[in-house]
This record gives sequence, C-alpha cells and structure tokens, in this order.
Amino acid sequence: MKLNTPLKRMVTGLILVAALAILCSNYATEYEYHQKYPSYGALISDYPEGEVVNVGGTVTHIGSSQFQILENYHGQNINLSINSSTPVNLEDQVSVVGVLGPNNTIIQVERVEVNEYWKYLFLLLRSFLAVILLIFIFYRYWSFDWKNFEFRRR
Amino acid sequence: MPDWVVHLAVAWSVCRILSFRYPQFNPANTVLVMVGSIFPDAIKISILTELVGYDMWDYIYVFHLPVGTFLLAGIAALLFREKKSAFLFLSMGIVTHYLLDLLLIQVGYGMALFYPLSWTGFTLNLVPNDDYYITIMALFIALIVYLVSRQVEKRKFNH
Repeated sequence: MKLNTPLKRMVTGLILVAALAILCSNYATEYEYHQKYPSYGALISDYPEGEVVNVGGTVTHIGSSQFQILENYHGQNINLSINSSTPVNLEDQVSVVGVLGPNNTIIQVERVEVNEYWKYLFLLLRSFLAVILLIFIFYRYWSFDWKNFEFRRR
Repeated sequence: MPDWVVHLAVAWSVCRILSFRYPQFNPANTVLVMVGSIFPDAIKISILTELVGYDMWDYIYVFHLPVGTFLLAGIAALLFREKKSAFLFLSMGIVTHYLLDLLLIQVGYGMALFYPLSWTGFTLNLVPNDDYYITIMALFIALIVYLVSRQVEKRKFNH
C-alpha cells in the first residue's frame, strides 16, 4: 500500500497506535504471571511468605544489619525491610532477589544490585546533554515540511 | 545500556564503519539510526510521570520491547517522505539498542525480547546499570573510528 495521501497515513498511524495500545494493556495485566519471581503485585494480593521474590525500590532508612526501601507500585507506597549488610546510601536504587519473611521483610537475600543515587543523576545529566546534541544534529540534516506534514532531507 | 551517550556513540560508529562500503549510510541516514538507537528508551517518559506521582512503567513497558519499539518506529516513519528507508534505518538503531541492553545486569529477569510470542527474559548480566566506564569506552571507540575514517577519506581524496 502506498502511503502517499494524508488520510492513508493517518489510518495506518491509528492502526499502529491501536496495536501498541493493545500490547501495552496485555503486558501490564499479564507480566507479573510470567516473571521468574513474584513481585509487588503478588506481595499485595497473596503475600507469598517463604517464597523467593524480586523487589526493588529507593533506600529510605539504613540500620546496622538491614535497610528499608520504598516503592510506588501503581500509586501505592510499599515499604520493605531488607536484612542485608550490603553497603547502601539513602536514595540509592536497590533491586533484590530474596526470601520473603513476615512484616514486609526480605529475610534472606540471594542477590542484590545497588545503583548509587549520584551515578543515577550523572547518567540522567549526560543522557540529557546527548539528546540535546542529537536534536541539533537531526535538524542539520532533516527539516519538517509543515505543508505535507513530513520530514525531508535538507 | 547505561546512558544515551553509549547508544548514540555505538550507532554512529557502526554507521561510520558501514559507510566505507555502503553509501546509503550517509550523515542523514546515520542520524536516523542514532534516533532509533534511543527509541526503546521512550519508556523513560515514566521518569517524568513519576515526578508527578504516576507510576507508568508497567503500562508502557512494551515501548522497551522489540515489538513495541518497532511499532513506534513504524509510527515515526509515517512522518518521513521516504517512509520505508526511514523505518529501516530507525530499526537498525533499535537493534543496536537491544544488543547493548543485553549486556546489562538485571536482577531477577531479563528482557522478554520475543514478547508476545514468549515471555522468556534474556540478559548477559555483564554491565551495571549506572556504569560510566562503558560510556568512556564507547566515546573512545567513536573517536578512534572518527580519526581512522578521516585518514581513509584523505587517502581517497589524494588518489
């Protein structure tokens, strides 16, 4: 099909957007059932105590042998305590695989990955600068024709 | 991959190398590959929505899966006069993105590259998410490619 008229382009675009929306909806409702370990959804509905779970969040409190993380899960704030002596700092992003105990506590950590907060901010900064540069380069080689509503080579 | 600098540098380097043999990898098409290389990270819109209290990650996670990203590329390609070539060059960038993201350490599960056909996660668990040494390495490689390609062009010009 030649997409040479605005109507054809619009119809094709709407079909693609609809396909994307269906996939997004399917993924959001199904993904928790297909994960290797249960996560927050299962924590809220079933509380699989004694099972290995995969959780993540922002470090909000640090104790001597444990730390606490906070995650905003679909608008609901969930606090978890992690029994681990892994060195962390406040605001670090932590992802944990471990055994879920009582009272929202991970009692036995099998795997933990810590992303330091300052490194995260540095990552955002350099990514932001990179995208600014990309926009500049893009408009050097491409221009937007408002009449035909399409990009053309300069 | 940790950041967009790596994605852009790798996409540019690959196109620059390919341009020696294939003239289609001209600067304009190279830019399209570079744009495609950060397309899957359209999911990062969620960082902005999180700031205003909306957790969007799960709802638009498909943006960061090949099927969703290729659909996004299809939508974007409609905005180009040469739709087919725009889609192909954007897609090439998308492929470089996923190849690089495969290197990331992902605790618990990897990327479901073949969703919706399969939910199996893939990851090589090699590079931490926030690593910046890989950024330095990617920039260094891009610099080498740039210097070598300039030398090659000079030689061509002299002959």
